[in-house]
Amino acid sequence: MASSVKPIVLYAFAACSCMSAHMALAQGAAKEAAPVKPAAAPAPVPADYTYIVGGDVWTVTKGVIKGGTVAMCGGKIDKVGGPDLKPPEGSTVVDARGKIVTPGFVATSASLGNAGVAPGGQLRDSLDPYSLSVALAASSGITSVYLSASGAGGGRRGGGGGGGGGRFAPQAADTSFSTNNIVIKMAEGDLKGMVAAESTVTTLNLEAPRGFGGFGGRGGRFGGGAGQGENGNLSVRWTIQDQLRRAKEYLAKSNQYDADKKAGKQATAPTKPTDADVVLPLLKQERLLRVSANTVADIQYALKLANEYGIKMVISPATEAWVIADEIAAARAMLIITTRDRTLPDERRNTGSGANPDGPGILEKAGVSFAVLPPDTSFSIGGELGRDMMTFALEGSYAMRGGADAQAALDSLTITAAKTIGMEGRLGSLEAGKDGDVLILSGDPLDYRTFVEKTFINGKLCYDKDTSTFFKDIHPANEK
Amino acid sequence: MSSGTFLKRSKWVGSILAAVLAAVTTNSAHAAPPDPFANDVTAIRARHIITVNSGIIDNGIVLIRNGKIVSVGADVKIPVGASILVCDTVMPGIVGLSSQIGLSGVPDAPAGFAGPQRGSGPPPTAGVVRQAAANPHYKVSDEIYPFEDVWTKLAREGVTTLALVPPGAGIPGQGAIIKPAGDSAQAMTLAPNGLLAVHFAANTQTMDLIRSTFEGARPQPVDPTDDPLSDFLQDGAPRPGATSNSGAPTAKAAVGAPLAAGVRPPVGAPDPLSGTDTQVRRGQGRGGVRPGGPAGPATGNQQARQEPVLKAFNGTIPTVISCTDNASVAYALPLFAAFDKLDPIYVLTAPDSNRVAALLGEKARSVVLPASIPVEPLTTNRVNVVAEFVKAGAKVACRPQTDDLEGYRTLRFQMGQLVKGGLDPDIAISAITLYPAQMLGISTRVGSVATGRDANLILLDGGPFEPGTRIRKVLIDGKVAYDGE
Repeated sequence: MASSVKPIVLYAFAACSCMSAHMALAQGAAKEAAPVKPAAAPAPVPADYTYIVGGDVWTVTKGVIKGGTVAMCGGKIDKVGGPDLKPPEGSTVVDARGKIVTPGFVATSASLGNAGVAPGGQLRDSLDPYSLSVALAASSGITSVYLSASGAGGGRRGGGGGGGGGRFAPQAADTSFSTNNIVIKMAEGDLKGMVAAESTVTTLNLEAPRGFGGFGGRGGRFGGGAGQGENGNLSVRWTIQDQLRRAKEYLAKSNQYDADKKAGKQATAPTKPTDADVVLPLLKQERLLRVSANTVADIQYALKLANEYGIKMVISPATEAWVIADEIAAARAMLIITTRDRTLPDERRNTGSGANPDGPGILEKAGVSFAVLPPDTSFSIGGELGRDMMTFALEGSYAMRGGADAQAALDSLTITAAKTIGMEGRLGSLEAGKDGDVLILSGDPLDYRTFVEKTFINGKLCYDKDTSTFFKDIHPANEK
Repeated sequence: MSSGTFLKRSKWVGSILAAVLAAVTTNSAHAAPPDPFANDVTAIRARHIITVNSGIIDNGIVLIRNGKIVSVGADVKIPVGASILVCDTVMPGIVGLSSQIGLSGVPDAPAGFAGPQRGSGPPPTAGVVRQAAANPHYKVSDEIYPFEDVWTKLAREGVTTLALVPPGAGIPGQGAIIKPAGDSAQAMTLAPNGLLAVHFAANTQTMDLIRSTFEGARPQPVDPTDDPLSDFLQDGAPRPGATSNSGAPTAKAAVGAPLAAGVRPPVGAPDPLSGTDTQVRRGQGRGGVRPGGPAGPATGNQQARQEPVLKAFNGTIPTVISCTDNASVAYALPLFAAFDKLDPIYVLTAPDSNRVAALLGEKARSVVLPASIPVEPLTTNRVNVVAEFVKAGAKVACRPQTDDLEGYRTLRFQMGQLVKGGLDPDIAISAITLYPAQMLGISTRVGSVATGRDANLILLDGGPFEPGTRIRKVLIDGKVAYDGE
């Protein structure tokens, strides 16, 4: 007992010195946010630049630059280049020699302990920049997180490690289209800096809580009883299809009307259905539809919608997606999967079912791109080690175990994850113009021994292992 | 400790002492004139007078007449006939800021919701999702029951002023600033103006409700020669058409509601938040003075709703903003900063509220914190949150860790722990007396030992933070509210 107490006490003292750093950070952010920037921003001076030099830069989309440089300015990546890209006098230079520089990881769901959103509320009104989960996320290399108001990520993941069937129980049924979602940055103490984008996707829960008669010994694999659940309900599905159908008809009529008018013909403007606004961007392929579906049947239903209405779709958690990988590829849908899912097969079906550790390889071969999530989307210090967001990058390693190649595994944490939340223009790779979300890692991001050493978010240093309350006293065995 | 045994109140002993004193000083140039009313005078002779606002006076005297302190000092002469109390230390009575002791619970609470029980006053139930409502017209003073045991017991612990804040979510009503002594609610009330309570929560409904209620109180200046406030108070709406003459109102309204994440248009949809009784129709109670809103005379109800909000808006009464988490602070600050005259007091309860110390310290905000050294979540690291706020520049008042009698019983000891943990002792004593009084705008009445103040005093037999110190007497308005002899 006594021996286990000692390091905790040490932790406590370590925390003392770190708090002031947190506060300085918060204060600094507050001060910087205060002045209103004029319309024509002044040209950046060298002091505004941060140069990360000397590391191996894994751009994700454009290969690896040995001894490369990442320059950040105004919260964005300004330049990415080789050793010849030298920092100007006066800029902040961060030495990354012997390290690996990657874009920040993108979490397509997380339980952050945000204040909770009441029905009808906006997520941006309920963020907590002071949540320790935000600090822990940055320490895990996660710089952006997608949150949706309907449960933690609009899926079945309850977060917080709810035991038994609870974790796999679908969230309170949200049976209609919703755009109440947000992408936030893990910028601790900076409320303004946290909000990256709102309503980047539309969500829809198609996850039918079907009874599987005692699979997993938990009285139904998905926590539901026997029979059809609400989201698999025929009337709910009819309503969804009907809403899409009427919006599609309206879109066609409206296009015809525009064409007629252009041609100088007499035409009457079509009446827009009252519920069309939420689905029109989907039909125009301006926005992704993020669907919760799990079984082959539910995924196929989702794909039917995708094909019939030309919707760009992301399916999560898609446990049985590997069974119909080709169908998913044909519909050009993306996935968010949990590579360590242990769902058992359904004995009553003679086709493939349940989770498959080789799923990532099968999906990649079929040409399906996927992002990954751990089995538990919370952040905890004392929880199930390696099962939650604290070891987010390991999910990429598990994808490799399942047959995916290293690039797909890296993509699943970065650029593909960014694509599945409609943020690939700003997140997921090291390219000039993208957000200044950059990691300095002690090694290969897919190696279990790798530490996140520094995390930059919006161009600012948000996590430094050397001063972290939680990690500064943990050192790898071979560290000099 | 032994000084307590010197404490006397026998009138004739006092008279003799005074007579001797008078005899000794008759020849002096500063001799006290004979006072025919000296029988009404109480004199406290103390080894240390903790005045709070002007340091510690050693071997001094506090003179009290008609419930007020008439003089304080080392060379004050005790008039003939005065009652004399002797003690080691005298300090101002404790000013408790934000308490629900003696209140019945959450107004319009749904059935089954466990609010604080009358008389015992447990802390507000954290984590219970409550629907926000705006009822600025509700008054705590309407339900104060003067014969509650708890008042006497509070007085016994040295609490002589208490700012009662109604529980709830959103804007539950007006609080009351009371003394725990008196035979009627009116007699107990110290400041009739009271305060406006806001229970903040970082969610859209609560913030829209609070913003629109305060926006509704924003006067629309229509004509520089006209007093927009009286206009507002009379008919609840500016004269129709008048606003169109000036671009100012629109501009002012536009800067009214910036939030951290951007300006949101005013809510248009009917509001699902208020219950039947608490329902406030748009354009009336909640947004009463929008140009183009319904004109015509306001009903009594509307006026009752608008008046306290207007007072809070103008800083006439303080606005007590309770935040149970740091996120609420992050959202509340920019929201209330838009109302520049408003006088906000932030009551924080989160154990890790030191994380927002810099935010609140930056503009020397008034902050009320629990007197404790909490453990920072996910660590074993204890943080002197109060000291951190003081260091950051905030003005800090302290309340007990638990809002009940037991909490006030140990408040002085808890303050001692904060001193042990690095808090300046002068600030520690101010944090339970002068600072809360200043925040509430009643520092000319209570919170210090000075001429003209209410004679709300605690007579101690030792230092205020010493665990061995006992309260010998508590005076409220010069009357002995507790006698520990």
